[in-house]
Amino acid sequence: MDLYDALHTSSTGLAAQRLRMNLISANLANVNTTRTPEGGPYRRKEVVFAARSQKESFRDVLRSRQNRRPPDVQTTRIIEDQRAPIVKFAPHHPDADEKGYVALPHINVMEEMVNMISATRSYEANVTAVRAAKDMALKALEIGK
Amino acid sequence: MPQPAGLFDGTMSLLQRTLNLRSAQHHALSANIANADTPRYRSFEVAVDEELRKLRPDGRRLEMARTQAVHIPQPVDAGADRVSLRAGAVPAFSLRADGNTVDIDRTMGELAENTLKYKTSAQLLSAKLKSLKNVIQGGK
Repeated sequence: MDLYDALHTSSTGLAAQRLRMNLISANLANVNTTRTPEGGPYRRKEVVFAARSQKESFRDVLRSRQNRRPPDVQTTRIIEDQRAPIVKFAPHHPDADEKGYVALPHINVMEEMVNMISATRSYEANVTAVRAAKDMALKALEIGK
Repeated sequence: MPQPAGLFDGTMSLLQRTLNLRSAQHHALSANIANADTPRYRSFEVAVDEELRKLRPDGRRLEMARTQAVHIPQPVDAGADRVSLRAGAVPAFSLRADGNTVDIDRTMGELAENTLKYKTSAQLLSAKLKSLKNVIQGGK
């Protein structure tokens, strides 16, 4: 049934936006982190989205041959921002180099905040779609009552 | 299966087809909303009005005439559940650089409209069944 497929598609959208939000939180939390397991300052993380058709069962593949299927969102990978770190003079810092400069993550708080608003709005849009699907399914259940 | 005219007339199958198309449209719109931040994603939708216009006023699909008795009859409901998708409207002016064509405001509006129309069709179908019930019970 299309409504269940729609619910599934919307939930992939919700999951994708939540992951994006988690990464934004991580970026904001680590705005001053100079030490990571990989060494060096924290690097800003971002998720890459891709559209994917639902093809799990034979039936899905068969149907996808008959007509195009609305695609889900897939979070393909998490990329690390390769911008050069911000260098700050702080000779007392334990992670400072011999000249007294410490490398801080290149994170623009304003940029993260804007992305956070965008992620929130997209999440809300998906919630609205889920609610609409639920309303429609409930209305269909009333047929013949 | 041909149905007796009057009782289960075209309204029923027309409403049924409408519900199918509207739920398919909902799936397409949900996919557009879910992919609102996917780079190079092209939005698409179900041509609900065009599909409905293909139906005859009595709600049945146009059938091929059988000029010979040996011709294989076309199933009445052949392709009734087939839904064709078309590319969604591309915003005339967009500042997006990622090639995504989802217009979130338009899509949310369409979602609301589609939901209302789905509910309307469900309500009509419900009312139709209710009136049938009324007739069966002799208005009691």
